[in-house]
This record gives sequence, C-alpha cells and structure tokens, in this order.
Amino acid sequence: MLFPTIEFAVFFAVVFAVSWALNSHNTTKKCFLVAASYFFYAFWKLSYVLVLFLSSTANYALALLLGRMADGPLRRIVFWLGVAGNLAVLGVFKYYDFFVAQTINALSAVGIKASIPFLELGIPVAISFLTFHALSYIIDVYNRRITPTTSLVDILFYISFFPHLVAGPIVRARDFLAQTVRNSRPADIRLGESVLLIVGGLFKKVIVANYISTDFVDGVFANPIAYSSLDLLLGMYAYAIQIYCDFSAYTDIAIGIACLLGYRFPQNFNQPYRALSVTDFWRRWHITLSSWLRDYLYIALGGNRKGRARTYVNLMLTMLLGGLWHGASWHFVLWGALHGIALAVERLLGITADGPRRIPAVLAWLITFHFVCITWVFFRADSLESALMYLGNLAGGDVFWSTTMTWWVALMLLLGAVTQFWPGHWFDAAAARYDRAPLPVKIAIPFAVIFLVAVAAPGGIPPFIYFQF
Amino acid sequence: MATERDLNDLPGSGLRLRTTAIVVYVTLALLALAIPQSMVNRLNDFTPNAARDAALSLAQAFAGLSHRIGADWPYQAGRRLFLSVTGKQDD
Repeated sequence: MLFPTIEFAVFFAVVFAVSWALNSHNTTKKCFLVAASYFFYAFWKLSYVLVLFLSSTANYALALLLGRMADGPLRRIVFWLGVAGNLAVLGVFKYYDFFVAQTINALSAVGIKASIPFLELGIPVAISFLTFHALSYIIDVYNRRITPTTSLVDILFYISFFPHLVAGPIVRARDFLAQTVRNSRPADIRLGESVLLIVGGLFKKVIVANYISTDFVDGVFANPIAYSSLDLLLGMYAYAIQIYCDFSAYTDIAIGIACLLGYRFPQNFNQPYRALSVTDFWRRWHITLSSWLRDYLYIALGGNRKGRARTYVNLMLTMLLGGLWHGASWHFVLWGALHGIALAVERLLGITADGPRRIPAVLAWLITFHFVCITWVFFRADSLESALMYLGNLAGGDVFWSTTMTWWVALMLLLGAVTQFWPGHWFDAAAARYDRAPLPVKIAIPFAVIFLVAVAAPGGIPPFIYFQF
Repeated sequence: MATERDLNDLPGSGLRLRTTAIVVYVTLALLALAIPQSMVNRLNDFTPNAARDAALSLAQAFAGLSHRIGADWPYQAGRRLFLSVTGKQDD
C-alpha cells in the first residue's frame, strides 16, 4: 500500500479513529496498530508477513535472554549468534543470489565450471529496514543501554509500525519503546507540522519526483548514448533532485502520520544539498541511517579510537557496507566506496562538517554537490557498466547544447531545488501560523494542496525509490 | 506527580484531538466529493470480488451525486486546463 493512494487514505481514516478511541486502553491500542501494520504490509505479499512476525518474535526472545544473562563469553556468543541470525535473513533474501553469481563468475574466470543453485526467493519489501530496527534493539539490549521489554506486543509494534516499516526513518528502539509504555497524549499532536509534512511530501513525490523521473531521468539513464552531454549533465542533476524529493517525501509523510497518531519519529533530512563537505552531507542525508551506521558499525569497529590508519579503514568499511545495504550490486558498493574515500580524504585534510576553512564556502559547496551528483550516477544506473557508460558519454558526448528536457521538467527541477535553499525556520513559522489559523483555514490548506496535486498528478504513481531496499 | 489522566486533561488537549479529527475527516470527505472519479478508477484496478463490487457501486453512486450537484466540476475544469497548458495527455 503506497502513501499517496486512495486505499491508504481509507486505511488511515480507520486507523486514526480506532487508535485514538482505544487510547485509554494502551495494550489494546497497540494490538490494533500491530494488526493494522501487518495488514498494511500484507498488501505487497501475504507471505512477507511471516518473515516480519518470525523476525520480531525471535528478536524479542533473544533480547529477553540477553537481558537475563550475566556478562561473559556465553552472552557474547548468544549475542553474535543473534546478529548473525538477523544478517542471515537479510543475506538469504537479498545477497545470496548475488554472491552465488560472483562466485560462479570468479571460478569460471580460472577455468572451473561451478554449478551452485540460485534461490530466487524474491526480496521482501523493506527487509533491510526491518533488519536494522531489529539489530538496533538487540545491540542496545546487549550493551545494557535499554532493558528488554517483556511485552511481545511492544516489539511487534516497534518493528512493524506502518509509517516507518517500509522506508524508514529508522527509529531507535529506546526512543520508540519509551513512547509505547504510556497512552499517547493528544496534547502532543503537532497538527501544523504534521499537515505541512504530509501535504509537502505528497507534492514532492506525486508531482516533482514523478515528473522528473518519468519525463526525463528514466529515459536518459535507460539509453545514455542516445542523449547529448547536456542532457546527461541535466539528467545527473535531475536525479539528485528526484531521489531527494522521492525519499524525503516518504519520510516526511511517515513522520506526519506517526505524529497524528501520537508518536514522534526523528528527522531524516536536513536540506542535504546545502552541504559544504561530504561529512556535512551525511549529517543531512538519511540522518537515521547514517547515525545508525555510525553508532552500530563505525564505533563498533573502533571508530577513531584505534589510530589513524584504522580510522580510515573503519570509515571505508562502514561506507562499503552502507552501499551494499542498498542493494546486492557492484554499483552500490562502488557508490559506498566513493563516499568512504571522500570521508577519509576529508578527515585526512582536517575538513569537518562545517566545510573546509581554506577555500570559499561557495567553492566547497560546488565541489561537494558535484561529487554527490556524480556518485548518484552509480546509485541510479542499472549496473556498473551503465554508470561508466553514462559518465563516459557525459564527458565525451557529441552535441553539447541540445536538450530534450521540457519546460515542465525544468520547472519541477526548480521547485525541487527551492526546497534546499529556503531558510530552515520558515517551516516552523508556517506550522505555527497554521496552528493559530481558524478551523476552516486549517481544512482549506490540506484540501487545496491535495486537490491541486490531484489536478496535476500523472496517471500512475510509481513506488518510492527506497521501497526496494 | 501527574497521572496519565492529568496529562490528557491538559487545557486544550481534547480540543486538539477534536480539531485534528475534524481536519482529517472533513478534508478527506471534501476530496471524495471533489474528485469522486478517482475512487471509481482506483476500484476498477482491483480484482473483482463481492467487496470490491459493493465498494465500486457505492463509489459510482457517490460520483453520480457529486456530478449532479456540480462538485466535481472544479477538478474536471482544472484537469483540462492543466493538460492543455502542459500538453500532457490523460492515461
């Protein structure tokens, strides 16, 4: 079930009413929200629900066991078995066939003909997000940062809660479970913030991201040799705007919906294309993933505590695995590697999230933005070969000044770019004004925006980019 | 120490939930009235079964009502204007 659809609107209308009606019976309400979330997930494929349930139940039991065991080698073994179990689920569904293909290719290169069977299971939607939520829970329990909950419902709820289930934001167990032990407070609903996030998200996804994708980016990336260098350059910028508008739209809507139901999610984007360094970019882009990787992978590997060389190795490993997390393909690995190299180089040069001190801010911005855009080509392309072909044609294409971009796509790009550069406090001010507005205005604003989105919407809504992860 | 009931009874707490509910449901109702054909189109995409057929009949009746009172006119006119300005075509 996609957010910008009629079935989701009906689903949410029911869930909103029932969950608040059950609010004084917290456990019943959570049971209802778990059932609703499983129903939401089952819209993709009923059998995926089993993966979700078994993973949640196993991690619930594992956390209870870890909570009761005394520190020592046995507890460490149980913990690592749990981590391996979670990664095995991810590995079987998402990476097994990739590694089998690589093994067959490698053996074939040295003259050995291997016959290793492929599983071809299909990847359950959002299995990577599901695994990260589960891992964050058992790692925090193992490190005694949180006490394992004895409530199975709380864990089922934490892992499956439908606003974040499919594409994040990645919510930490300790932040979310603290909200589930009490009834939701109507006083915590931030209506202005929620409405603006939801209608803004719908606009970014349905209008900006969709038109950029279907009217320009898809064609340019499908057959780069048929386009001019200018088209390829614009296609690269356009994809940067598209992926931001697509992904940030999903998490904005998720945060808004969760807030209407009385739950708080963390911020996931902070105008990432304003970044003055790659380090800065990762503090603004998919914040919940980058902070997850920092806390549970980079720091666990030793972070910067084990010397200079090891710090660079840890940075590279973290970003390589971050790339691989997005998909079992070399172009994702290379995308992660390029970001890892950039982070290591910035560290070597003493460049922080504030940007380099020796060059003007505008130059730092230009370098960072173009680095990010070029690496997006590896992210967007179907394969490493396609990405290299794209960049090769961009650098040495024939007709530079002709473009197939329409004025409509250019307008969408402009609108997408504007989201990066308006002052951050405008959103808070707009939300506060909305909250002070009379009731008819409160209704008129979301109605008018959604109405206009429907008037200008393309025929079908493609899935969000991050659903595949 | 404040109890859960105290927190839910904070001044404005009930009003905020009531306001939120009104905004959510009135907005959805107005959208259903203004763009009823979208419900019919969406339901036509689903595999036919008893529940879908019943919902489709309801949506068609609603679309008919909306058309009779002219509530769907702004959407139809807006859509035509959008298509003519952008040169796009309906799928």
